[in-house]
Amino acid sequence: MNFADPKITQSVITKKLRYFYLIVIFAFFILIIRLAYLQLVKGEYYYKLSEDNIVRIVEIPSVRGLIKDRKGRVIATNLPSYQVYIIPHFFDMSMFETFVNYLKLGRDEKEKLKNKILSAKRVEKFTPILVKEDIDEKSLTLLEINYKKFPGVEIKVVPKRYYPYGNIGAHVIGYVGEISEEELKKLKDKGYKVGDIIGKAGIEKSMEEVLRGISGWKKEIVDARGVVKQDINLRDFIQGEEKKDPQPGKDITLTIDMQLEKIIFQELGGHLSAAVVVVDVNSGEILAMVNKPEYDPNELSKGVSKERMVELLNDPFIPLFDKSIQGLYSPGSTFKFVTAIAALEEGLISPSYKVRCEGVYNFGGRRFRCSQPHGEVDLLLALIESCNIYFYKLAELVGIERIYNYAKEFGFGEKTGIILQGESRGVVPNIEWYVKRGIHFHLGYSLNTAIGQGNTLVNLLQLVFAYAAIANGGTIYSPLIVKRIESSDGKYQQEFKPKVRRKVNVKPENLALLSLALTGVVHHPKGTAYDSHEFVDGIVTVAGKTGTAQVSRKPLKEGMDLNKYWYFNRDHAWFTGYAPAEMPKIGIVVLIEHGGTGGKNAAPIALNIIRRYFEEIEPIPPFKKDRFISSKLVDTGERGNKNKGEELK
Amino acid sequence: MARILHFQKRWYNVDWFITVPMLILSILGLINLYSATYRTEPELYLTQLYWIFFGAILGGVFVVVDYRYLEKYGYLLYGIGNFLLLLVLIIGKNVNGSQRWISLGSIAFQPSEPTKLMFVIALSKYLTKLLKYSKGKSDILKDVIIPFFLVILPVVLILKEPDLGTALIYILVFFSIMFVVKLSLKAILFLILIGILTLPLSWNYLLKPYQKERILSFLSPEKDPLGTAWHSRQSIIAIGSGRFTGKGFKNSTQNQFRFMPAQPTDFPFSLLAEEFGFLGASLTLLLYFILILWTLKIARYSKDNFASLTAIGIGATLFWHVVINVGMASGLLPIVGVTLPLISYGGSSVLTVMISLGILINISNHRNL
Repeated sequence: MNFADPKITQSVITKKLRYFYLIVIFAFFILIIRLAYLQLVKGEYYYKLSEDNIVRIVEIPSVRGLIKDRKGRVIATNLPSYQVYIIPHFFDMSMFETFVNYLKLGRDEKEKLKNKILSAKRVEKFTPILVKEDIDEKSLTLLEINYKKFPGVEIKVVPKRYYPYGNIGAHVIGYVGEISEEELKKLKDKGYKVGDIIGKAGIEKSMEEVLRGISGWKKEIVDARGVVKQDINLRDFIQGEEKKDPQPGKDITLTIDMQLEKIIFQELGGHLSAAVVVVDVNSGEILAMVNKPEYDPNELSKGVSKERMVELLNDPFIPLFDKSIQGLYSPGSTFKFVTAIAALEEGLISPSYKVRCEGVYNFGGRRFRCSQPHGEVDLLLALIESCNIYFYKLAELVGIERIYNYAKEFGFGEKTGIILQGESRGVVPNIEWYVKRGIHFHLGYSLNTAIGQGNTLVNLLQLVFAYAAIANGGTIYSPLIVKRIESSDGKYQQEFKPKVRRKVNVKPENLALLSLALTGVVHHPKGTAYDSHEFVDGIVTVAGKTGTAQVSRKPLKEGMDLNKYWYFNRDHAWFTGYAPAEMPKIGIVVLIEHGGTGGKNAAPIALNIIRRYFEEIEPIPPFKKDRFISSKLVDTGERGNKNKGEELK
Repeated sequence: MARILHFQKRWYNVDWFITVPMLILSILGLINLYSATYRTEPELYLTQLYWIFFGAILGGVFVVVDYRYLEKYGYLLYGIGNFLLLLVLIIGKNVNGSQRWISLGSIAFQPSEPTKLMFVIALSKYLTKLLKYSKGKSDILKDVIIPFFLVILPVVLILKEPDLGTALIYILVFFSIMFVVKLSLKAILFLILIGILTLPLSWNYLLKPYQKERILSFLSPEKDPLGTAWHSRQSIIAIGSGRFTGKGFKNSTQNQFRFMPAQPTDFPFSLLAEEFGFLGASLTLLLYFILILWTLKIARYSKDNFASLTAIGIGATLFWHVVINVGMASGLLPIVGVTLPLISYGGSSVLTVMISLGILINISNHRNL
């Protein structure tokens, strides 16, 4: 090949140039294909990504609904709480010391924050850092006055749940807190996310969906550094909606009366562990529900340390536990009316049926005891004096199956259906119940059941609603605690009407008889609660029944605190009843855990609560008072007069 | 002297296939630059406009000065170019860790751009001579080693700045030119061998850590989602989000909200594609396509080997700039700083391209039709 000849050379170049054309065409073809792929095939996708780049969706939290009591008093509300944030990039480190002094940060917190800001200044310098939540007013004022000295400091207002009544009514109202991992797992599809506030107990928990509301959102434009662009028209950059307003949670009005709660609280005084429920016997509305010891919902809603939580959980008096709903107790003598009703309804005895009580009942080689020898008692006196021997005898006549049937009739052994969480079911044993558990049934169990001991377990609601049924002529209502739900603008309103759970299939005259006996418990000189009758004399007649539930004895172990040992082996004291006896209005149950006997320890509290209810909350008009003279009817003779029982009939 | 200035029969008889794409691309570049910078540096597009005017005048000079003078002073130009590259390493201005500019008063000048053209001219001159005198004999020294040294000198100097993208362009242009002239299989194998030998050497001694990082992150993007790969990702989003017709002039969100890095110089194409969509982007590519194919046509019909090789060199330079810049913006290639001719902001680049096109027109005017 002769390269000297330009023409030959030219032909070599021309030949090679063909490949050049191919390479150029091929390369541009690839580029065009790539563009078509990115812009035409995946265009919408990348458009969305470019929008996502600059659009930040910011949640606008909804305001949690208020909780009010039946008189409109606010029990749970929202206060503004101030959170302090720092945007590291803009923060002036020379002002750091002043800043932490204003916020009253501790030494450790200070060091931590300093390191956090300094390291963030290098990388995520535009991401706000939360410095302190819920700062006090002094800090807030200092920061606001001196805001020019603190560039990059932002104060965000968030609602904080506040309970003006503090501890009072804690268990009913409950408290709120940050959503836990387990809750989040369960509620993810309901729109909950990390950091959300959720009801943790009581009404706050069971009415969560109503109270919560629906949070809204708004879109913001941010640049690559995460800085929000204020001076920009959102419409230019985004398609679709710009914001959605939050829907505030609905307000709830409870059937609870906070004044009554307060009264009960005061009357329970120094008792360490107790529970009281007061209901409206004619509607099933719960007027008060008090547990002791209580907790502070304001403290818990703020979020407590792990140590504090462990302390609360390990407290022997279980403050976080709602005894009135979740607790299960032996009803003791308060259960005797069931045995009495069973015997009467089945026609096994007449009210004048008499048994002689010598204080001991021999049965199957065992000795069953009574509190004292009562002598010859009929049904009324047996209830008034709470004679065990009489009911042992009835137990033999009636048998455990019939007691079981009537207990069921009065709603024992099944949940009352209150909306609060964790209601216990209770136990009413029958033969099948023992057989199922592999226990050889003998009549001794019937005897124990007849006086509310042994395996029978009830919750406070079951008891108070059973007594309410005696009071109102046989209607067992569903417990009603939420009276009304309404939106704050008044557009939505829902009233809750009383709901009948069941009608007790018992003859009215038998209920009337029971009612008379229960009045005697308080107002008859022999009555187990007679010692306290003065509390209500001249104000209101009370019908009720005391009870003393034996506690399973704990063996004394070495090193045990003797004081505590003694305390925890004391019986539970009960009083349950209703008033006014002639025209019943409220039902009450009082349980003093390890309080001793019902007559001595629960009855005075119950009667004082009732007295104050009719003095302070719903005073009985004078003319009505005159009609309520049945106390005189009963209280005519001396104490211990045997004939008084007959006079009652 | 009459031969120095060479006019065609009519003075306005310029090559429309070069001037029209050049004009449209320059205007597109200005529009694009304005959109990119009017918020931050509203005067920047004017600076570019001045450069384009100045470049057009300089280009015009090269239209009329006979290209054979370039051949004559080819080695001198090559020497000047390398001297400037050396000078930049000594007195250059350090910007973001690389030393690429020489300050001339208020103007910063990037010698690696014009040196590209000087290198093309020198190599073409050498190869023209080689073709003329080799008489078919293959000589490894003359065929391969000397050309190799012609390219390796500026490449090493540029890598020292460092400027990986520009060095890469030199190498690609070198291979493109060498490809057209006779390269025996032996020579190709020899070059590959040298390449293999120098690759680990340059990896260890020439590349800066950030350059290695960029290459590594392109090879495995999942390793670094917010670092280098993030730039590439944002560029792809910008291009894709333009869809068919684009978001419209000044409506880019990727640029406005700072998701795109080094916008006016390295990533003008993503902004263009975002604002003018597939229509605008493919029109731009079409203009480059026409321009490059036309240089090949000029190369094919030019009067002598020097003209042919120079045209190929200029065409290859344009081609590799476009392919690498667009490839990198669209995520096909790793991110290396390579300008998009006439659209990227930068005086050195604009002047070099304008002069190159002037030379092309000159050659075109001399071609035998």
